[in-house]
Amino acid sequence: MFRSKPKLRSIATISLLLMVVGMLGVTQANAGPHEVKIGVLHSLSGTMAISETSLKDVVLMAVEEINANGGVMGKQVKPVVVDPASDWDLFAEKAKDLIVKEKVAVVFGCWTSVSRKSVLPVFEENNSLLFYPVQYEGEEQSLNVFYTAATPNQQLVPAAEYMMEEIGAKKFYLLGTDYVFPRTANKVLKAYLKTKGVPDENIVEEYTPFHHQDYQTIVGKIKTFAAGGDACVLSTINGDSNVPFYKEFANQGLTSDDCPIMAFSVAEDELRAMDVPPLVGHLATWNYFQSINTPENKKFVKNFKAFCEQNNLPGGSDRVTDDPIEAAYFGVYVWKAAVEKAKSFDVDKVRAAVYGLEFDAPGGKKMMHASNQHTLKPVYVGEIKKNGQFKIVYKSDGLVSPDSYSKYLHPDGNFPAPTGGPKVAVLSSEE
Amino acid sequence: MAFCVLRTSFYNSNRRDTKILPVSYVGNPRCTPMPKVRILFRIFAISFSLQVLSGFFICSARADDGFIRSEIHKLTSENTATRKDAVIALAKTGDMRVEAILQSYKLSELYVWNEAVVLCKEIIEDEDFNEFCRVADVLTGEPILDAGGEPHEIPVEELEEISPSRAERKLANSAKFLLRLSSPDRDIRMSGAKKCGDPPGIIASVRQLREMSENDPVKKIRYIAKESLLLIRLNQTSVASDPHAHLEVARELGNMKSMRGRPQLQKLFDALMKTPNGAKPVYDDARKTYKFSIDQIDGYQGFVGGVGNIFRGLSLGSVLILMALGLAITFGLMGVINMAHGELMMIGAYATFEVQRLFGHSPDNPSDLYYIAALPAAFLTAAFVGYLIEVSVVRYLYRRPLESLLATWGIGLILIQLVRIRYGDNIGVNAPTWARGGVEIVQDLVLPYSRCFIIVLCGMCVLLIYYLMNYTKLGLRMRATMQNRNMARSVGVNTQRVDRYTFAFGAGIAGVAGCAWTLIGSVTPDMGQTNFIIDSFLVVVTGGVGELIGVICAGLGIGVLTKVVEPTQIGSFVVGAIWAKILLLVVIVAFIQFKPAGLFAPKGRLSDI
Repeated sequence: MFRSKPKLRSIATISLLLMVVGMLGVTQANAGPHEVKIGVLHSLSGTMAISETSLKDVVLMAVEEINANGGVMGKQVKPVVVDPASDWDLFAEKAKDLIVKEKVAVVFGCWTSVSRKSVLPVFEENNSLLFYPVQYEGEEQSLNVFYTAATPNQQLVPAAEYMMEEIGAKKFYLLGTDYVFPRTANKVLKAYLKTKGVPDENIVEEYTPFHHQDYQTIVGKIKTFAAGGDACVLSTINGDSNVPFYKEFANQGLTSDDCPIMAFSVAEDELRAMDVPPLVGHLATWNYFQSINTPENKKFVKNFKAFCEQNNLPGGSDRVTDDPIEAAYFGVYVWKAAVEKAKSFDVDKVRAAVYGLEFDAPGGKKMMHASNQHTLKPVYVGEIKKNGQFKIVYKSDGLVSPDSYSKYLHPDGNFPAPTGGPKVAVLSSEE
Repeated sequence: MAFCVLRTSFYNSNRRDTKILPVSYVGNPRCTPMPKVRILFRIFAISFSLQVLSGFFICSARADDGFIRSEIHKLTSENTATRKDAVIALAKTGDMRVEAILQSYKLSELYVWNEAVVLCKEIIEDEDFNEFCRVADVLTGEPILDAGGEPHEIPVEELEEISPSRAERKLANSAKFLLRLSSPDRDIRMSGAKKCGDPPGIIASVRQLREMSENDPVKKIRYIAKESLLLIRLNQTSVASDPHAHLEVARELGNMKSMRGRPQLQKLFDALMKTPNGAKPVYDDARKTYKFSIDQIDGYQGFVGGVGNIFRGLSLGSVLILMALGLAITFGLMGVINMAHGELMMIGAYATFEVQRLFGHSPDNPSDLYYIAALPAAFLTAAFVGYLIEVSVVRYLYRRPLESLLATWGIGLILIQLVRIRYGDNIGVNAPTWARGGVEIVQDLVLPYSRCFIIVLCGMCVLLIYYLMNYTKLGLRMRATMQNRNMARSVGVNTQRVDRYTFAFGAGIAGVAGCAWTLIGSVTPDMGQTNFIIDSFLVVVTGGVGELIGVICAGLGIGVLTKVVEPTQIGSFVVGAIWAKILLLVVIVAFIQFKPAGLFAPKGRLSDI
């Protein structure tokens, strides 16, 4: 029944394919004397590719801009892009490759908290630097990481405050995907709401598995919960589950007037993948929106679209910018500014130079914290518009200082000491 | 304390609703943050000023532009009361353009320039970092042109911002709902009617709500208006002051089975429970009335919830059946462990996306016909890809289940990455307008159109397959080949071709399922692996490999079981989505232990391996 010819042919084809793939894998150029290598550690395949690919794109764009303007301290920046394929073990392995084999000066990467936690020991062991561009649950402070996105007090708490003060919400439905960010985020939110006098029975907490697609029952529950007209949903639903959730919400006849949804993981890039009409009027809190109306930001958006189009990236000029994209972008510039201030690529000198650094980001002036590795940022609340963009309905007064450990989870003010850093040097100088 | 206004008024259109109240109004409008007490005062004052003006609320009067402009100008007044009155007056015009103006006012997008109010949404900057503003007309939104016919660009320093305080922003928000009562659009009017009644309630809306509760052409709006009216009245009266009227309202809410009334009644009931028994006979009466109404509402809601759960189960079941039908053919009949089944559904979904793009369908510019074209397109595309898979790989692997498992899984990965390279990860399929929203068949039970459609589509697919298998020549050949290949061959059936068509047909059905999925789920390149493949196999294996009826029973069974278990509450523990899934898998594992062949024993090629 089986003929050997096609089999041979297919084996030949497969091996040819494998060879091509292998050749793609070894296109890592060596850094010359006028070059400095940086690592880009974002998933380009697997479940997280949906979000992380854009960050890789924008980091490469920043590198291109920097190189066109003479590089960093006269050296051209050479990005080494690797694909950890949404696999947490592979993240650690690839990070080690970048640091030990490629000897990169700095790494830009990670999205999920689990990937960050898995590379953390690698960076601390080798005393290398990671710029992490995504809002996360806090409760961490490593001297080997600079966190360029929001901590809970720069996103979650202002959002809950907005719902209470401006919308007048009294009941809160905390809905999330079942993993570390929503669980910790909801812990912070609950602690905060309780300090504001919201009774237990007015808070509901619920989780769904990853990729959950059937929100019929949950929306039914929300409908009953919100019948009094003073409830809201604080949503930490992640990724592709958002689409069926908002669709079901609208299809069962609920609107943003009945029960507004405040989302912490829905930004412009995610809205591209959604059927937007069911989301119109719902809210999101971030530290940056594409709709920020300044010349710097407009230029940034234009450049990003042009970059995607020129490089034939999927989406082309339809691509949008959002909070993590901005954070990934200015992360590269923060590193450049710190290197130039320190006049060295040495990790310890660069780290010292980052503290307290003021800089211009596309979304406006920002500043690195003087000691806790995070970034001072403004907080915006945006209302989703029909075109997939946000209308900014609230802006904080000035920059909000980051708390690496939430004061709501550590009411006594006892925070753990930062981890990592220059082990040997510190020990010898202290003794 | 900047100034203090004392006002009193009669609100005589409905004596039961209001009383004569002196309200002191305290506070400087521009000073934030304010102490809590002041804010409370302000909120009180606002609800009162709404009340004051409600007396001359005129329904559906369309004010002329001059009047609206003069009221807008009053927003610049130094006097807080004047500003508040202006907001209410604007809301009363019933002119739908006012909603955008109120929104701009709330967001501090209104500015004073040359003593006129202008709209400024955009600030631009020249090379020397001087900021300019392109101003627009506040009513029409058109840019104001200068002498040369170009948009006027005004240095920011010349503009004076109008920045409402938080209390004023809230007032503008309430006024928005008041305004909506006059809207000709059914949905907008309904949302207005609803929000006017939500606590604390917009008292100014009472007269119009009453009118709507009697005369509105839409039955649902009449119901909501009446409900809102009762809710406002419930808040306005109390057991202590006017027990008769108050309890009448509570009883009426119970009779209406009002879901929105329930939290209010519960709150009142809880408050009364704190007073000792027999303190006042009227309190005991009230307790009984509240409890009776709450039970009435709960009874009805329990019934609706039960019916809703069954519907949700049917809906989930039909989605599962649709997913599994294609697999029932490729795996059930042909015995190929087709791990690329999910990817065939994904291809159906992306084919839908392509057709949508071809038709230029978008939320703003809907062309609903695209979906009609997308169904066959999804079928054909997926069938074609299935055909290619059969020709290139699967045909060498019949009777070698393990190899076919690995090979098809590899094909799945290749398809995922190809789609990712072509489309990226973020694409949105916009549902056609007829699949948005739902139908409220009885009060508080909404069945989404998209889910009803999928149930129907699922039924049609099942009938189609049944007909094809049992009443056509192709079906006869398929069954013959699957049951005994050599015998079929010996009587002249071209079994190789039949294999190809069968596999392509199964793939095509998967494509249709993918197309249907775009109505309710998300579309990503790896949707097949994350959402479909496990569920599909679950249904096929539980149902019994190779039997259509098995797929239907298993799909519906799993669907209904999940949806009935998920909302179940045991004590304070709610089962929820995660535990429902775990429980379901435990049940299926146990079931397979006792009935390894599934609900219906297999026939076809698998049985004679």
